[in-house]
Amino acid sequence: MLNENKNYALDDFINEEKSSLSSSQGLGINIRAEINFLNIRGSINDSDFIKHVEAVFQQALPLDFNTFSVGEHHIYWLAPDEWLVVTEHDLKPILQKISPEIDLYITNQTGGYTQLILQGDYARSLLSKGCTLDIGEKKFLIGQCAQTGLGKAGILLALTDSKPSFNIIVRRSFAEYVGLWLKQCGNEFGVNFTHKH
Amino acid sequence: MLLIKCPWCGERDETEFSYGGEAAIKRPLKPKDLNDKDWADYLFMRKNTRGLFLEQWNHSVGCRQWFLVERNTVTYEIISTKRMNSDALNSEDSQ
Ligand SMILES: [Zn+2]
Repeated sequence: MLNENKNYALDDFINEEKSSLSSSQGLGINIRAEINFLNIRGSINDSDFIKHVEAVFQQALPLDFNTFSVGEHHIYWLAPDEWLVVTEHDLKPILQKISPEIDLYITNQTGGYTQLILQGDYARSLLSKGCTLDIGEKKFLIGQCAQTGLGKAGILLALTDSKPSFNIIVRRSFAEYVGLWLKQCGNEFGVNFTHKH
Repeated sequence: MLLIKCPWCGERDETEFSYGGEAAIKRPLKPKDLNDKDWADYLFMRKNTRGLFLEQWNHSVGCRQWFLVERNTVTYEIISTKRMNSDALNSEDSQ
């Protein structure tokens, strides 16, 4: 239901990229289309809130700043009272489990975000061309996430494995810009685009 | 470029932050009792300190939290950053 009528700003861009693909040289970008985003707000001092969210999503709520938890979903820390759930699961059954008794705010932001996955040996080099965050191997570790800037766009950046793979979550209206930015700056690394459903 | 330590996210580039001016300005408890001059003073008048200054900053690209920065306005040196609910605000009350 929630995935109907999707119109991705990146679609045309990706289709064009596909027709002119060169061989991958250790740096790839996946655009994740069929993926849902939920924003959750509540107080970390409210144990009922934390218990309820963890029961609904069957997964720990990351309470440490700038970290995320991985299970059926990815749950990112955004602020001391705010989290982002990124999931491939249908939202309806999840949302139906939310109790009105609990003091929490949950917003479906699926239409507002796009996720890109940047993967490969040169991922850190490429990102550091336009990201002010220190993403050196000893500074930005697996399990860490950060809201920061890439070029002129605000992004949520997360490191998920040692390949390394970075999840880049960006406002949909900025997705094309970020795609173009990665393409241009990744040129020297032989960046390769794919569309993953 | 300054590195500013967000009390939640740690050290981040200056471009991730926005400036919120003088800190510890309290909204008057009874605005109706104020004359125009005092109300305007609360709304518009800010100190322009040369030297140590307590300011509010927002980590606008990151966690979007407001926090306190103690900064030297001459050298730009940032002496400390603190969360809003810390005691730093209360010690400013007397001024
Ligand atoms: Zn922050």
